[in-house]
Amino acid sequence: MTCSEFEYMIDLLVADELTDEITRQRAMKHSSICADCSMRLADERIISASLADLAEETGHTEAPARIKMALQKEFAGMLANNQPDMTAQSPKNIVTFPLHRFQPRTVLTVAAAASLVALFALTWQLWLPAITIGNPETIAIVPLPIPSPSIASSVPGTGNSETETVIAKTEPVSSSRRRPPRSVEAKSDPEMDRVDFIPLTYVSDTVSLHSGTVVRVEVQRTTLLAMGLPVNDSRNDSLIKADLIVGDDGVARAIRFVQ
Amino acid sequence: MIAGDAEAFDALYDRRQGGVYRYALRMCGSTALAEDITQDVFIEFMRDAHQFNPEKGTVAGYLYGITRHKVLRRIQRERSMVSMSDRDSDEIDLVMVKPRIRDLDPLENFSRQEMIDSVRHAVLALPIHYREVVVLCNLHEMSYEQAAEIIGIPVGTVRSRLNRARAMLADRLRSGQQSISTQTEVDSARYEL
Repeated sequence: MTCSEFEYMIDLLVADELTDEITRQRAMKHSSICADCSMRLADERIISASLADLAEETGHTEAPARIKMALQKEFAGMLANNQPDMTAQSPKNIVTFPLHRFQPRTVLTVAAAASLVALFALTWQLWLPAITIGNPETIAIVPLPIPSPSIASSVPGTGNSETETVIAKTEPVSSSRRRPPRSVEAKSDPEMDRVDFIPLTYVSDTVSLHSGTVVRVEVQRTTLLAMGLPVNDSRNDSLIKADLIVGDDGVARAIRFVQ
Repeated sequence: MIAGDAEAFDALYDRRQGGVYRYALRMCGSTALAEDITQDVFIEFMRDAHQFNPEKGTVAGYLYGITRHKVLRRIQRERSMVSMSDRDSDEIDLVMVKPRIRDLDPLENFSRQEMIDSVRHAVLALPIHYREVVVLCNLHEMSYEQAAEIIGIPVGTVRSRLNRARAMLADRLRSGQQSISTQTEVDSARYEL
């Protein structure tokens, strides 16, 4: 038997629980020839006996009666106060955080952090400008006062039509955008929208437009010329980007050139 | 008890207070601390009794768990209570162990009591994670599995810690006996002179 094997079974040997007689004899033989293991066995026996004596000596020690009296008083006080956590079972899915288990420093730190976050959120809300939130596809119809002279003069039929309808598109602004750029504000300006779109005059006035869709297209210059729009006819083969407002009936009502 | 039955609480206390109190006393070595901890444990239990889940363990294990938590917190808070080797044996020895009269001759009784005191001091001088396995397994006679459940460590760790703790106890007791024997030799030499 080696020392490590002896070490492995020394507990059983000390407790006299080594049932295998042959193994026990081998262990005892090893302890008789190995000084270290012999000393280890003697130490273990002393410690086991001493710990057993200590356990026996203190085995009948009990808490003083005054503790029981204090607890009975506490229990009666809880019953009188009808504390909900004692008389009623709390749902298992509710997690309670007993503050008395935390250090006061931790509680103060958490409170300070929460205050800072709340203050920051409040400041942020006050700082935010008013944001228009709209559906990107929604358009509004506003009466056309007088188109811009540069456009109105070049579009047939628009120069004297003060009551003609023009379609102004409200630009969508994302609600998640914290600070809208100036360009968005400019696009949201109704005055700018009125000069953007040029009404297509071949549409009958009786067909009113209640809603429509903005569609971006590329059209040939010759097509625009045929529609009577002011384009440079020297480059007839090139394409021009434009936004069309198409009504629910599929008829284009206005056009805006994309720069 | 959860429904507010005072008699049920009394019965529970009578049955479990001894183990809780002894565990706290053996871990801390102070009766005052052990009394405080025992009271705190049962107050917490009566307040949060609904948190006890019988499917997860026994009431004894639950109470030992609370006691262990409170003992560790107290020991951390009052570091001076940890190391008993530097302290004189004061009220702790007087109250913790009341020597029981045995049918032994006075000399044998005295030497036995001396050995018990030495072991008690050696246990209290152990590092806390070694001390708790000795207290649970050797003094409270719990199985390795029960101790592992209370401490929250694997059974193998309990076994290895206990082995190491007993080796440390042996070293301390041996060194203590050597110092006693050295002191005896010095006293004898002084007497002969």
